[in-house]
Amino acid sequence: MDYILELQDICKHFGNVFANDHVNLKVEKGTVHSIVGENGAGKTTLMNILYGLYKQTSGEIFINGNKVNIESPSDAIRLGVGMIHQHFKLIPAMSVAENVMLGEEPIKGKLFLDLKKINESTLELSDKYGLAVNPKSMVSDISVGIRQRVEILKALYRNANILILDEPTALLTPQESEDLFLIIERLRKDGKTILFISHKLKEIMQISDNITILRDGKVVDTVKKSETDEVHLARLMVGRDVFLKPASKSKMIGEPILKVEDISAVNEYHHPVLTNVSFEVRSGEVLGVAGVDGNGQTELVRALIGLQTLTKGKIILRDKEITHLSVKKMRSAGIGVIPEDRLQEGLVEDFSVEENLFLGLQRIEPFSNGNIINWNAVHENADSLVKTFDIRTPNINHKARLLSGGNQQKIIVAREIFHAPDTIIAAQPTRGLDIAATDFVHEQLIKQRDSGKAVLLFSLSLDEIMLLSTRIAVIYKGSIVAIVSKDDVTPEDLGLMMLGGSYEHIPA
Amino acid sequence: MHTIRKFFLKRQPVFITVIAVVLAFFVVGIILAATDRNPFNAVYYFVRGAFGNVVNTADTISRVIPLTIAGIAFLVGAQCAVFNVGIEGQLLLGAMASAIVGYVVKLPAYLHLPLMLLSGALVGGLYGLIPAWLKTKRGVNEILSTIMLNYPATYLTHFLVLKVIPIEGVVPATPFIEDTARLPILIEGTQLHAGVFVMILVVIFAYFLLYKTSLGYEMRAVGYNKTAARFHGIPVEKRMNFAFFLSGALAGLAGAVEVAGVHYRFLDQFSPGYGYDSITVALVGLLNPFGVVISATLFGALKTGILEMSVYSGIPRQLTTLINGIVVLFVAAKDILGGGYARIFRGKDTYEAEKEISQ
Repeated sequence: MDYILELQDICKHFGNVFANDHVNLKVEKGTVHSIVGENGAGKTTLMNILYGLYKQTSGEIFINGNKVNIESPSDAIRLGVGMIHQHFKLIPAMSVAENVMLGEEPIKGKLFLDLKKINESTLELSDKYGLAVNPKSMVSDISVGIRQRVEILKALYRNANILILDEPTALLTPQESEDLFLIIERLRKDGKTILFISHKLKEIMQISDNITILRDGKVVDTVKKSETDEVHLARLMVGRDVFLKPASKSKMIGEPILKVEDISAVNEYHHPVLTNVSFEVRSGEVLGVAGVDGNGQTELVRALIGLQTLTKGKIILRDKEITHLSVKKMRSAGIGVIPEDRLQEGLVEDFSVEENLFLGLQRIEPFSNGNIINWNAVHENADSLVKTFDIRTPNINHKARLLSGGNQQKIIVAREIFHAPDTIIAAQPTRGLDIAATDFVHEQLIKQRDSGKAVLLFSLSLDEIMLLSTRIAVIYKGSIVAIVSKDDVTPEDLGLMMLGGSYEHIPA
Repeated sequence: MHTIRKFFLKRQPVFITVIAVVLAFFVVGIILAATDRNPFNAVYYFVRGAFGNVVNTADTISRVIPLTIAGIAFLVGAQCAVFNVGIEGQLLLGAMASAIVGYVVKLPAYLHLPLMLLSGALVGGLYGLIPAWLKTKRGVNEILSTIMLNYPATYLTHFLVLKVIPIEGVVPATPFIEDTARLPILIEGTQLHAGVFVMILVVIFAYFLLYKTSLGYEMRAVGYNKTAARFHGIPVEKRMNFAFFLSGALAGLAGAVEVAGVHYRFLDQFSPGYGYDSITVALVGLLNPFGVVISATLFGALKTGILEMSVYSGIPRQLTTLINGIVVLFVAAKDILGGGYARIFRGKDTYEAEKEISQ
């Protein structure tokens, strides 16, 4: 077999921490080879070693059978390795073509950029792989999906034969992800080798030829796609069985708890951001709100907790109108929220774990008599929540800033669920979490549903919406364009509606 | 070994501050030695001047009182994201108001003294509401507005004692306040007055407010993260307005205590910059009420100790400004020491690892 890339016994220690522990990896030329694992499993460290950002503590790298020494990214590029980072490294004020050429510009005469040639060669490369990128667009004007293609172009322009894609779908819409997979397929057909880093099982199963699973810095196994399935992969990644299956059916759907009637809102420039939005969430159900990012989800969440001024409409919680109330009153009326941006909105990072676990509850029993804090109650609450929700922290006085993202999210979930309101609004509750943590959050939301609460789930991930929802509302340009039962739609239908297609037009 | 490391790591900010102060004195010592003066002699006279006998210690404490109260004034603001650098102005206006109440009003002592102190606090607090309004309604940066508002306050008091209020004697000042408005001297022949109890009350009050009440918790939440505070129903603007008022009120109280305990009148330019020093005091005290007492003691001792040092060791008094400056410089730059400190007590390897991973 022809291995384009071989890693032998790669170890990387950070002090006493083993980020990579005797990793062996063989990659066949012209394949899509996925590296999968939980956050902290060592995937990114391994790729950073390959790209010359880190130097391995020990071990050897072979490219095309030759032993190589990669000291820096420029070594890697020279050897035909290109990396597309999770966070793009583009200059927004320059055109696509200028970004692609940056550092390798063709020169006309001795002084001038050959702009014509820059645009032509970019277009040529773009056409070859079906990237459909306009070389003259400014990077600041193009979408995230297109920006990613510009990164791919940059690597291709530097003659990369091995392309590392580090969690490339993290920021993409489902449709954009599909397009990316088509591009990857074309690259593969052209003989390029793709290293695909991810922890999303579905897409791994969709595009890989071979899959290497990392856990705690070690290779657990390398398997062919044809010999595995999602459940098997999840077990290898997490080291135990996980939830992942669609949630059990809602058992007892009751009365509507939260009713939103015909609300509209405008932004600071007086552009409409919510238009005539109406829906209700009933006791014992999860209403999923599906939509492409930026279609009014953020504003809707803010409206429901009293941070967004409404131009019309009503919000009713258990027959009580709560429109135009202050945040404090809306929340004490019974709305709990797991906010979208946990570092900014959900937590005070410089507060300790226990201080965060009663944020927003500081004026109610048992945490205070309204004025004086009862620290004993705070300690007890923190001790019990840390135990129940398995928040990994050295102690309850540890600063929240020092915990991992998953544990920070657990603090928020624990607090909002403890608060035991009628309605839980969960906005992107698993963004950035790995499988085990995601699984945990899902389980908690379903538990709340089954205890008779109304759960409103906002997610950019269609998989998550399909897994958890009882009914699904599709939001597009600030309006709810459809509300359907989960059993009546396919992800494809939803995807179409999210992009503005109407439900009626979908062929049955 | 592990427990020792843990002990030092947990208290990193405290120890780093102490190390910075020690280093500053070390540098001062080098400067003294370089100019042919015996630094050990200097230290001897410095300590003797600050704490050498009852009188000196009492005088040092009388300096610590305004520094602590004004330091707490800055602290209660800073804990709620309000950087009040207008403490000097609020302190002067508070002192003026209390001096006027002190000589105009005739009341028994148990009413007069509290009224006099409260009037100082009230006027300081109201003056603090101007930048509050500018900040929460108009979005004006409070660092700019408060620092500028020091000038009208300074010149207003200047104008009052020079032109409006009848002048007694040769120095520009208000008339003396009634005996009923004075804080009694605790040790005869020294400047130590009963304001020290006011100071202790202020420190306990600040600690209780910030760490034991819901209001203080909310103020700290606003101080750390306004967005999260707002998301959890804390009225951010209201809490900031309160912090402005409270900070100004404590500054005014610091001025009133100086009038009631030391000068017994508003004496023009009586404050050697207590309001400005309060910022350093609060920051060196790591924005902790008890830390502020310790740091105010250091800065108070600098003021009294250096007097004696200059008399006996022939070191020019101008050097006091230099020493003060060096201490401030070292404390301000103390975070430079953080890396080395962590390296020592965390073990080199772990430190590197955390640095790598956090990138």
